[in-house]
Amino acid sequence: MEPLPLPTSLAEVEQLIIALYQPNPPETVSRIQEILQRLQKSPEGWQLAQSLIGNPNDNIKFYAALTIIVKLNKDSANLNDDEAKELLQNILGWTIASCAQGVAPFVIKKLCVALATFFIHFSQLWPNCLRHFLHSLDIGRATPIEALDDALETPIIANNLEISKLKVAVWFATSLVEEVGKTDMNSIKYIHVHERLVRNAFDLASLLARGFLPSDDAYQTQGESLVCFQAWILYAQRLSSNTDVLVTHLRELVGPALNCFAIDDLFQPAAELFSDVLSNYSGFFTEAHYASLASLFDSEWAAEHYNRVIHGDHQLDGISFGLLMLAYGDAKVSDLMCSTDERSQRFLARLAGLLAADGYLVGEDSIFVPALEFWATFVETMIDNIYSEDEAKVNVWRSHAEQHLKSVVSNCWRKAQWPPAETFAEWDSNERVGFTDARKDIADMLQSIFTLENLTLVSFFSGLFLQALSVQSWAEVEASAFCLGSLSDCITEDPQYDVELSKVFASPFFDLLGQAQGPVPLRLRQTGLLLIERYCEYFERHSEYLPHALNLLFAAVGDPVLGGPSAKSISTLCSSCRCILTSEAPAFIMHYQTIRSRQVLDSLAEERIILAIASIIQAIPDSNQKLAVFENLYSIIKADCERAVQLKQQPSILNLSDPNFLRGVEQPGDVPSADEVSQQLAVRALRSLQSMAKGMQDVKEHVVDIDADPFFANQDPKLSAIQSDILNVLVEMQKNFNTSGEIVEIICIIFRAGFSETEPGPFVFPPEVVTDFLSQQRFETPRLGTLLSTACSFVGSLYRGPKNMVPSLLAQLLPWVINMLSSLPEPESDTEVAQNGICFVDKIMTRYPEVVFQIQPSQMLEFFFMFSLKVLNGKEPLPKTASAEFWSNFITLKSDSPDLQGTINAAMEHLGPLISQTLIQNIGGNAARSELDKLSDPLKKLVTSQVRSRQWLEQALFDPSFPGQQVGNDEKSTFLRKIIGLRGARATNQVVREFWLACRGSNFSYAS
Amino acid sequence: MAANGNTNYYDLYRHGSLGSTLTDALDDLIGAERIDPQLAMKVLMQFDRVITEALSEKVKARLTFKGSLDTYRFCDEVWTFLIKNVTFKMDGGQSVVTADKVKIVSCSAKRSDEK
Repeated sequence: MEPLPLPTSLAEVEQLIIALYQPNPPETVSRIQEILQRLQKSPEGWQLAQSLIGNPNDNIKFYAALTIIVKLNKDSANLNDDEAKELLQNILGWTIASCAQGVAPFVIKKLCVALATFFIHFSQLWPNCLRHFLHSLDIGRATPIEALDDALETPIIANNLEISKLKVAVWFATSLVEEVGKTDMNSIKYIHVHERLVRNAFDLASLLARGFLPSDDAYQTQGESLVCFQAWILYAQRLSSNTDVLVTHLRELVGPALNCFAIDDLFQPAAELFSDVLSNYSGFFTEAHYASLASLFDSEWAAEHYNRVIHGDHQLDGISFGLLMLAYGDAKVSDLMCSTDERSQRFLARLAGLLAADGYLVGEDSIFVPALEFWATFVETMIDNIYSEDEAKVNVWRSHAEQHLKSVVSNCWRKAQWPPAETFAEWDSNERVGFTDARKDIADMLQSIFTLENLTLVSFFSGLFLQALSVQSWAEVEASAFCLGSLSDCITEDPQYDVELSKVFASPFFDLLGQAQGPVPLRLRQTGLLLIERYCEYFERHSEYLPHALNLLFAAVGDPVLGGPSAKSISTLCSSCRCILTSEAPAFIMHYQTIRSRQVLDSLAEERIILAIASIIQAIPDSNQKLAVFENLYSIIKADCERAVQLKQQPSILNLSDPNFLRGVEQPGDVPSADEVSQQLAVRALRSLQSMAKGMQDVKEHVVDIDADPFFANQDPKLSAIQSDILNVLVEMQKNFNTSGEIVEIICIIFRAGFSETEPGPFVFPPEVVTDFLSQQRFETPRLGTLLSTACSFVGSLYRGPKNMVPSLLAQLLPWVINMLSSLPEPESDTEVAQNGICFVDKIMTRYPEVVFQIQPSQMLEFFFMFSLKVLNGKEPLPKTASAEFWSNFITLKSDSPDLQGTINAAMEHLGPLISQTLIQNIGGNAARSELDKLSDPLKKLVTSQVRSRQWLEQALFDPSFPGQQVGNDEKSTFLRKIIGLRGARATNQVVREFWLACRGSNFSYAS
Repeated sequence: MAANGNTNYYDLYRHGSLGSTLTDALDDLIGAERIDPQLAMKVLMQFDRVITEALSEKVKARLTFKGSLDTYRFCDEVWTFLIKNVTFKMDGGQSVVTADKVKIVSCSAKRSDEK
């Protein structure tokens, strides 16, 4: 687009500025901005600013000040010292005049920023900027810098200033520190600017000392002084050295700043200042300052503010005082904890009291979460001190500290209580999330306190639970159950804990919980069920309570709200206690059948129940009985699979009033087609089978005898028959739903569930069965990548197979995999296939290299090598990583067989130059930065294991196709010398990185 | 692990998958001359800040883990823990994850010069 013409007169410029600050369409504003910015950056910018500043319109004046800032930042190098001094006189003059004329504050503040910008660029000309500014303000005009020698002492000048001028001086001091603070303190360019700024410390202290004195401008100047003070303290903190002078002067101002608390209008900025400094720079305050703050917190005034935080409206009144107390507590946590004096104890008691403010968590009570953070720090400090200090010393304060922890725990318990359902329903989503997050924080806190209080804490909550239960105070029962549940990970098998837990689990509560229409509210029923799940290890030790607990859970499965959580609890409990429950498996299957005949269960809940039952079946010791019960459950799922297939083949049989078909309707009320229902039924049935496969996985670790005969050889015929049946079901499902990727994915998960098993089982298929299944898959099969990934896992599981069969099995799979890769139109057209295909060959090559090198026809191997090199030269990160790993392993491949070793050597002789070429193309700039470490691996291996690597790499580096145009022959030679010299050491990665950067050019050295 | 420039944020998250992918994307943009390196540097500095803040403020998911503490050290304000036989329990009751060995490297959220 053509640039717009510049305005030809000052009046036009003024019009544009006025238009800029008026409501206009965004396009108009950006066009105006573009013109004005060109003007600002032009050589006439200085003159323009000077002309505009005299305009009575504040917006135009503001724009003039902004232009000066832009010009200073862009063109200050073009000004000589005299011109710079003249500029300073001008800006100073305009600022003082603006102050006298009562110009809008935003203009004066912008002029102050312009002065601060001047200081950044010309601090050597204006080292005593603050004193000079005060002096000029006092005189009422811009005085020459040299006139400062005859000026009065700064405190006298500051005291003489009228209040309006004083306020401007404070604005300047604030702008000065903020603007200088934005520059890099470690850069040589700005180091002297910071040094000179610090030299203004005395003048600043004099100014702020005056600023903190009462004035007749409704405390405005005192408020501005607090803001300025805060900015300077935080600046002092960031300075790593030479801060002593500044900090000393700033510390003198703490007393006057503290006095501001007495003024209601100044409470907010003062509280913000002290909270900020206590939280981020607690070392700034001296012990005397802390003593003053402690006295302040012990005063009547503090009691009033505290009362407002505890009983007031946090939305309306704020929580600044509470945050101030917490910041003080955080800064002095160790001292407060170890002090047993009354004042410290009173303060800590109040901090514990902050956890008991009126209102519900987060939505109404916003001080609770910050207060809880303080107490988390307190507990951490306590734990540290208890383990690091002498016992005698600890005993002095421990009982006091524990007393406070008791209040903390009680308050947390009270706050964790849910509001009545109707109140909760009125909350918005943020309030709800805030409440549940705060409960999680409480759980974390209780876990920390448990380290100190152990059994006492558990007894406390079990006591509260029973007490609240006796009076049917459900919110309190729920909070107690929640708190007890949060400790489940901490509690050990110590019988003392079981005594306390037995009180809870033997209580009448669990009878009430079982009553669907009983008095227990839904929320508490959820927490009760969760409590059972969390203490599954307790139920393992106390099986007498287990049937009752499971009955409760099964009873809740049909509930629309409780179904999910109860199924989850059933799954956890059955999996943990599988050995105790083996005799119950048939009853559970009946229970499951009864439930599913009554209603359509949620799919996830049903899968969990099946997993639970399967995990019990897995633990049945007698194999005949195990298979019989397994068949019982399997027959239900098999029937579901058959129904899905039947519906697919005969859509007319769909009957949506039959619950068996309703299982295939995703949303109640939907009217889907028969095809959709059959698809959904198939997915659901296979997911159930997948849950069975997972449940049947052994949780115990068995010794694996790699020399023993494989168990497949003498497998139980009944087990073989079941396996064959399952396989038929899987094949049938895939055949009938051949376009469904989801079904392929589930089938893969079912196979994988058996790969990790070391004992025979219905899902531990013989390797030849898996091989046949995989090798029959075609390129068109959906989720081919997942099938290839399954093949990779399968290779890893072959240690338990008949060893003599492995090569023949792999010899069957390998051509299948390479054929799949060769069917890809481009190596990167399906990254998952490419990645998993390369991984598969890599796995075989490292374990059974003879299989790879004996593949027939041999062109397949040649194709694969070229394919993998193309991928390594490509852009797709995952296949590329797989390829880098493959070549890394290939380069160091060794065989005991002299014939095979000869073949490998011959292949390497042929491929070595190509691998080197590909690696060097990548390292020479083609690779992405994140790939360099992966690419360094094959390079290191090449250097350490191949004698001709130097020659190959040299050829690649000096090849005309080398991509890095930024490096010359010397750099290439140096790189080669370095990597050869490093002999594959770790430092090669760094050398590679540096060379890549050199090849790419300096534009890429921005990242560390 | 160094904190960068005049900001107070560590650059350690640049080496995670998000950070390295972002750097690759910035490299591509520089290569295509669509941005200059100064902007890329600013983006990375912004990333250092935002990821630190997001991880501390926005991430509410939690997990607990148990294991045997094998080795620990505290050097240059960096804690390192080597834990063996670790079991992770996710928030929300997903399955348990186990690991033979876990290395935890942690540094203070506040740099030493801020304390």
